[in-house]
Amino acid sequence: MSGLVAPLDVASAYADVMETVFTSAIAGKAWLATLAILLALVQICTGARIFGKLAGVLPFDGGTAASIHRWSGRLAVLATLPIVFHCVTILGFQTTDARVAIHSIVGSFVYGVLASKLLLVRVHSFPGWALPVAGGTLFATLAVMWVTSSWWYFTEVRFGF
Amino acid sequence: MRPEAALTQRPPWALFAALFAVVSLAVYGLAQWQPFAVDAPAAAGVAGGDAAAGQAVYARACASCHGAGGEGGVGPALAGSGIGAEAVAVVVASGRGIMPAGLVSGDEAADVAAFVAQVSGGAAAPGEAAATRPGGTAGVIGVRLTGLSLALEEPAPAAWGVWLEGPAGRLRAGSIDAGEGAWRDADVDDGQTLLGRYDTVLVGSTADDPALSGAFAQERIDQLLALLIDDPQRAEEGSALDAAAAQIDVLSEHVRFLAAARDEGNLANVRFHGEHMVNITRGEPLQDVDGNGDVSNPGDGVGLIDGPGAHLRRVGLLIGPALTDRDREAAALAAAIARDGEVAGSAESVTGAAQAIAAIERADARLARVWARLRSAAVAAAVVELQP
Repeated sequence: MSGLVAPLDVASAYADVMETVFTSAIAGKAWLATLAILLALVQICTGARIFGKLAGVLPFDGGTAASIHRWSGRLAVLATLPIVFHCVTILGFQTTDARVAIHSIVGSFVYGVLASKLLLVRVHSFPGWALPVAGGTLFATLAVMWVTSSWWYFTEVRFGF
Repeated sequence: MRPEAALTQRPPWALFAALFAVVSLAVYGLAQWQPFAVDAPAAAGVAGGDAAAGQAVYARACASCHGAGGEGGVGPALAGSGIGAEAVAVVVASGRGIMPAGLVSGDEAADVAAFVAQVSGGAAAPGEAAATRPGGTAGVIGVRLTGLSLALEEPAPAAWGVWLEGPAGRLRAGSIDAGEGAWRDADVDDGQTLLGRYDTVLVGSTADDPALSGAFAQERIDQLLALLIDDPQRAEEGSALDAAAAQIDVLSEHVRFLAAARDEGNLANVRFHGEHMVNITRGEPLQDVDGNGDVSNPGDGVGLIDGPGAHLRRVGLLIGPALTDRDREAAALAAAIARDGEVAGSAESVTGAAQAIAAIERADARLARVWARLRSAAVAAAVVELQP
């Protein structure tokens, strides 16, 4: 019985926390993932601004863009933490259909891509094209994750909190 | 340049690749491990499932999401998936993704597991044991807790007896054949409630030296009796589940009255029945939401959501922590009905109340579905683990 109680407690506690805000844990994940992808869009825009692009669209200097970029990134990572906890430690790797399989496979790489991208930020000896490519790849993986989870949930299950 | 910026003049691609690989593999490994996966005692009765009977259960409870032929829809395709009866039973009992736990239970769960396994092509061979470690589960089944169900994790090595033991003495409940992994009897003792009279299940060659046994804690017995048989905290006879069901029925009936008032364009009745939404769900102290000077309440005054004895709160307490998400979902829907009831009850026009009434109708329909699942889960909640 001991092997059963702890997971139930953890899963129930997680659901309790999520359901203080959302109607269900999965609805909470859908909205947190949406927040993350929106922040990732901010990341793309401010990242482009840091590299001197979009100056006409984003009327602030590179330092401001860098600050927004850092904080939106931190918030995006924070938003993904409850999702990762639920998907990885409770639901696990599944391949029940194509959507779930794609979500599981790509999801395994998200934090790997994130860690690699952060390395590129810290170590300046990489070629100049590496960081934008890594950032774009991170955004692409997040987009795949969002389409195979939140978009599916909002269009196939329900659109609401 | 920041100090960390120049670890090396040559880009450390190996470190880059290693970091990517290690983090990705760590996440993948954790996902395979699933340390907090809920592994409910779900296989009860699977081996005894009747696939033919399960087809009707599937059509009623599963087809809307998984497709009439298991081709998939909102839920994944089951046809040809190779999923076995045991795995189906686990998912049915514990839920997965948006699929709630306990959609069907008891005999129906075993039957639908057998049917899905047949459709998927993953049906286990008769008598095949799904697990190798000894033990199993025993469940007291039926709305009146009159039956007993066993699921052993290894087939019985010989013909075994099944006994119940408790304040009423010892009762031979039945026997399980050699090589069988499951046994059930919906009416062990002439339709009498078993819990309260018996608290221990014994399985083996003899009751005095059983191979497996399990006992319900007295606190759990009291909870289950209050939940399903008779709740001592209520003045009236009857279970907490029945008391809650009666108030949900009253609420649903008055949602229909509210919709009828809207359709008739009768503002006074819209406000009147809007007030009922509030008072049925929240209970005492009752509110004069429509401001007509009278407090009107067709409910029992206990309420579904507010107050220490509120019906849904009481059911949630008794049913146990593993199922409180159903209770919370039901309570959230009842709370939404109360909020929209306030809007309808104080509306200045029927048109002004229309949106709130539509929301109440949707919430009421969802509440009916959630309640049905909660009720099924409650009836299947009396499970104890059998151990050597």
